[in-house]
Amino acid sequence: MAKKKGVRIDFISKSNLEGKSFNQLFNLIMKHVKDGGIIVLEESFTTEEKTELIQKSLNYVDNKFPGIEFAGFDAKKSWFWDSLGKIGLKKREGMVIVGRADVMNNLEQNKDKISLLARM
Amino acid sequence: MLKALKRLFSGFLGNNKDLNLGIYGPVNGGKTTLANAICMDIVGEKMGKASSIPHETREIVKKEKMKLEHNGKSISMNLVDTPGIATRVDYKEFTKKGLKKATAKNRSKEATKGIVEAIKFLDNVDACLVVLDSTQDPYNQINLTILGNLESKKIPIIVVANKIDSKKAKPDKIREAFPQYTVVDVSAKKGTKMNDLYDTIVKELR
Repeated sequence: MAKKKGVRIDFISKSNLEGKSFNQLFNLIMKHVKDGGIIVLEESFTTEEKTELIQKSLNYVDNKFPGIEFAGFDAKKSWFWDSLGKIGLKKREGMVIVGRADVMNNLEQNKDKISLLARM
Repeated sequence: MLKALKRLFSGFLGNNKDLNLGIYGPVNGGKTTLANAICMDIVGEKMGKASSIPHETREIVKKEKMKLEHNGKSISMNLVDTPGIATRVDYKEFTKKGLKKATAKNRSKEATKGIVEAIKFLDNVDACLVVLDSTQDPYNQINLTILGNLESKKIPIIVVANKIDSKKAKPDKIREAFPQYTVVDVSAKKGTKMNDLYDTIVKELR
């Protein structure tokens, strides 16, 4: 049977992500995006995790894989979330979308909207 | 935390250690052009090669013992130019700019390594100029991550809205996106408003 053409987009719910370590999430992301898919997580990353995402994903860059693009919404900053962060209980409130750099085209983001053109 | 304490105690003890001033930002924001402009003004020589091809700077470049004197104030610093931060390094973008395939692939490899080194080097800087291209939309994950990272490490930040000589420049968009930081508009290429930048450096980072 011929393989169907298109960009696969997976949405992963918050309950499915709960309790997962960054490394588990990273492996899940790379599994999807390496094959040309886009993954949307109902969770954001902390700043430190975003830095790690950039660093670790660069290890995968080669002549066939140009890296990732990502965008997302973070929870609004408040003293409550900041306080949780200070005692090591920071939650990943928000949303993140990750895909192959050559699939996620014309990525535009502002505080309220993300738009992109997914190209096969 | 340790870095913030070190900074506090060095202030009490009158430690005159040179400030490691990092120049960070996304690719093609004009970091090396800015580093060159600062170097030319202080010591009369350039720091590195700048070009329109992405990832021209693929290694950290340091210019040590630079004394910036401005409006009766001075600051002694080591200027650190870093490779542009990106998640995407596609050798095909280099071939589009006229590089041969093998050169482009090699450049891609070096650029990837350079970005990782630049991120690691964040632990060694005392303050940062975050250089953003004012002709581009500033609200993206790379910029948010760079700024958020510096903030979490308590590293003082000056955001430089570069390329204001372009008709497409919208430095106010940078101010709107990041109202919590000091934003200085410059054109490093033309040397426009560099005095405003020096004024901010000697006032805020000394």
